[in-house]
Amino acid sequence: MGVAHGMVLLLLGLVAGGVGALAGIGGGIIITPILAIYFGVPIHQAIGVSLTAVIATSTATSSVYVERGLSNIRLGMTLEMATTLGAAIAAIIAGYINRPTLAVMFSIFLLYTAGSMVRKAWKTRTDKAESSIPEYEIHRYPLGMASSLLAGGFSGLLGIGGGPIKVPIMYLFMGVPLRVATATSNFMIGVTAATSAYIYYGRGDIPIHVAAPIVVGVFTGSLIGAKLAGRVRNTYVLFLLIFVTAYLSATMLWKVWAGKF
Amino acid sequence: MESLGGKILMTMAAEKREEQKLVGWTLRIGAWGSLALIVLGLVLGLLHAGAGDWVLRAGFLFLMFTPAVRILVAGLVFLHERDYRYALVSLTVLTIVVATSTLALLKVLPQLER
Repeated sequence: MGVAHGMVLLLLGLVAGGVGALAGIGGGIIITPILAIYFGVPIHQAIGVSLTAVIATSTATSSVYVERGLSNIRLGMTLEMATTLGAAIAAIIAGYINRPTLAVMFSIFLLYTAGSMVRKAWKTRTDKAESSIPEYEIHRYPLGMASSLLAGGFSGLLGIGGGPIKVPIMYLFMGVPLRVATATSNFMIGVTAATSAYIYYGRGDIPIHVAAPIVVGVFTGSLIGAKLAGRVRNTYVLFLLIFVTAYLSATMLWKVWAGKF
Repeated sequence: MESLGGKILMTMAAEKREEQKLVGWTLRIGAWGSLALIVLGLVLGLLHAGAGDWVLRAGFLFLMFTPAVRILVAGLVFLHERDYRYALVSLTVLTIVVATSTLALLKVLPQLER
């Protein structure tokens, strides 16, 4: 791999990490399809690379959330019993799924993410941020565990964090304030992604020369994004991401259709 | 009675801060430590092709095992606080993570042709 190639990958990580931090989604969502479509990386390896980027972002950002007391460590660890189990099982299953099928599954998930961002962009027009964390009591643990198993499964299968599943469940059904739900989900993502990453690494699906510049880029990008978060209008970033994810999803589906995967 | 209740609450708050600090630092060291190794590996690779590979590999293992160490640290803190319920929760998560990593890295799982 040449230096120029490495620089491009670093830049990709930088953008994915920055935009991810600004929009509140994992950077992995755009890394996997871009690697698979434009860099000719086999989709299983693209997912493996994305997993390492997800661990890096979660580890870097959750250290801050944990110290500020935003992440609920006990709730996070309880749900991790389910996310790690789901992640391990799904990561093993992913090894048996052929490339086109996995690409189609990923494309569908991209569309779902685009849709949930449309809803988010619509809501942020009116919503005010919670300034302090209200007192809360957690309920419906069984539902939380079940959805965590599912979120872990998606993480292991598609190399994503699973936030779009866990956050709404914690917020809407378990009585957890939104900011705490987001910070706790972020805290859990590192362990969940690491559990799947072991399987991908052991299978040879984490090409370190591709992953290294991306991890460095994502790490730096997410720190810059977190600093800018208050100053840039998130709505613009969201609209850009909606367009990008929808475009990537369509391109990937078209490539599968044309037999190029 | 009221002061006793207040004291218990204060101890709980102090314990909570303690575990936040320890878990937070574990994550911080893992993030920066693995990043440093990966950057070093990349630089070595630029100077001489292939030279940085083992440093890169170490960096990725460091990154992938930071979450496991974080679980261990939290579990030990819970044990120290005599919060046995959450010590058991930590042990369960750690067991799943360690079992998976052992199975995967020792390549016990079937290697497939796709």
